[in-house]
Amino acid sequence: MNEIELLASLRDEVPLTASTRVESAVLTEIAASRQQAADGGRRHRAPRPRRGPAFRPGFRPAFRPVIAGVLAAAVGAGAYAGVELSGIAGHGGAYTVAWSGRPAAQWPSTAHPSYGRATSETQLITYVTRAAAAMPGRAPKPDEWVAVKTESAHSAEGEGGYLFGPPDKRQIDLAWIRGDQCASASLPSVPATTAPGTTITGTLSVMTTGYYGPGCQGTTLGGWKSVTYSYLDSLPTAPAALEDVLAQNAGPDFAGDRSQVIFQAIDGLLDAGETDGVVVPPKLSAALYRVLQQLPGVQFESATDLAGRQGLGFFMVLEGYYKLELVIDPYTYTYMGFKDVAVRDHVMTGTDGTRYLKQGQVLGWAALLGQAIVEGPGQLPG
Amino acid sequence: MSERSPVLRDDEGVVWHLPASVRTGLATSTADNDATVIRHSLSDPEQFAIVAHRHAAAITRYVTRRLGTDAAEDVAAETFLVAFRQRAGYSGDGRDCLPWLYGIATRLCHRHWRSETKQLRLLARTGADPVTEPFTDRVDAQVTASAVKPRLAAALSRLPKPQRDALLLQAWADLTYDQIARATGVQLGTVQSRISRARRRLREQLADLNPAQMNEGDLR
Repeated sequence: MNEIELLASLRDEVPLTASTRVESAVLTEIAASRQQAADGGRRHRAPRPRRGPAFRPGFRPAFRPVIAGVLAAAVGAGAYAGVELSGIAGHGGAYTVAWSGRPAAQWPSTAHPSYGRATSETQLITYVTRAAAAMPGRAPKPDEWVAVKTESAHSAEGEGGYLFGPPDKRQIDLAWIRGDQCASASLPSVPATTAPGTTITGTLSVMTTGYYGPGCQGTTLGGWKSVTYSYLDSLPTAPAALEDVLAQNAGPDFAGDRSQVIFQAIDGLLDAGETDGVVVPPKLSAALYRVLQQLPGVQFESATDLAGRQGLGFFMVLEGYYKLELVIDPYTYTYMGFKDVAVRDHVMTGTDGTRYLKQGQVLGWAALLGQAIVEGPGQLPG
Repeated sequence: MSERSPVLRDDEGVVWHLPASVRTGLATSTADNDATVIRHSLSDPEQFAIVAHRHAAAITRYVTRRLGTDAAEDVAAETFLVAFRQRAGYSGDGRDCLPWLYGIATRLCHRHWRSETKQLRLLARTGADPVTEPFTDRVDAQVTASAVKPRLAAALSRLPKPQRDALLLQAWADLTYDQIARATGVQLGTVQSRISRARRRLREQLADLNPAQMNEGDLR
């Protein structure tokens, strides 16, 4: 049995039985909606069947998905590239829109002040601190959207927690997350070989209700008490104080010693967070780089992102056999992406067999090609 | 699921009479797919009871497996209430709307994240599962105790929320990657990577177990 089959058997003694409580609750709601309509729109709250104590909304999610990235482009409202939206189908909480535009086109990177190419971690921190002071950044308004462009690597030999073979397939994805993190939109992936000037016509899928991003209604990322802009902007910038906050909040979300926990929390915010539309205040980015600079076990080197761009890499060896590297743009000082590479041969014995990782094998690789605030889903900065 | 009388009686003994249009619906709409029923419910809300009638058991079971019996009926009921209020936005074209409902239920389970994790950790530490205890004979539970179940629970308890959701939607709700993507509102590639990472963690958690310990029966 593989692990999915084992998992499918877990708790399968729970029976499949009809619930009259559930059906009666629906009937009550239907009756309330009828009454509401008859009353001219006043809302009647249907009583819900209750059993046991109520739970208060909980917190605590996340890690990062493999898709990650490089923040080559700007976080800042601006003009929009020539995309066309038409043909709305459906209504209410989810709908589709015909979309036409150039998904592989490069986004502008003018909203970040640059003081030249950073070539060392010390220079990076000097420049990013200066840039954060010059342009503090801002939160997206609740009705604005954060456009996110990512590139991720895949393997023709398959994936199962990591790439089983060489990263021989790459794809670009465009997504939009509303400023309040409670709505999203996305387009089908396109191959990374798509020429920047190629215009694609596709369908934009929009969810305006029922989507809970990491900053929506008490949801957050693993290792972070909250990822709202106001919370992130309120965090201390002194490295020791910020480390304490990260170590305290990470709790059981991550394995490893204190340094590894902090490193993974930072990775989670920069990667999963920014990929999911979380906007990181520049002064926090600067503070996080300062933490990385002095965190035991973190090393620094020149690095290349999935899109072939040169960057600055902070890396740490995790679980004794793979290197997780965060790549920072040397010109905009923003997050570019990550790369997981095996640093030694490693044998993984699982329920569905044994797999052998070879030293140097790329386990995961992705880039954030852009993140920008726009006025609506489907719009691109430009 | 067997066909049932269009009268419901809840645990407090209250009898709920299905509206006439639903009785008609139960009799005549069994051939209609969910998308058709939901579309009809926009003009005739009572039709939505058919959706609850079809899928309440599956959603309740899924939520029970995640949260236990105490919270399950509340969350399952809320799932259908949310679905009813959002039915105008339902865009599925498939025969059943279960993936949509599983997505709503999964998001509602997030309110009980701490409780869910606490119960998994209890199972990991003690081998006793508070979720299945009401359904398991005590002697049977002792006989079939295995090393696998606590390991799985430990791994699940440590998974970040998006990974746990994606994995359980695959393993417990039998959704495809594409259905999970639509149910959770994320891109297909994100689902693939979340499940990949979650499986990797599970595999590592179970790595040192003897394959002979991993028979299906060990989990029951």
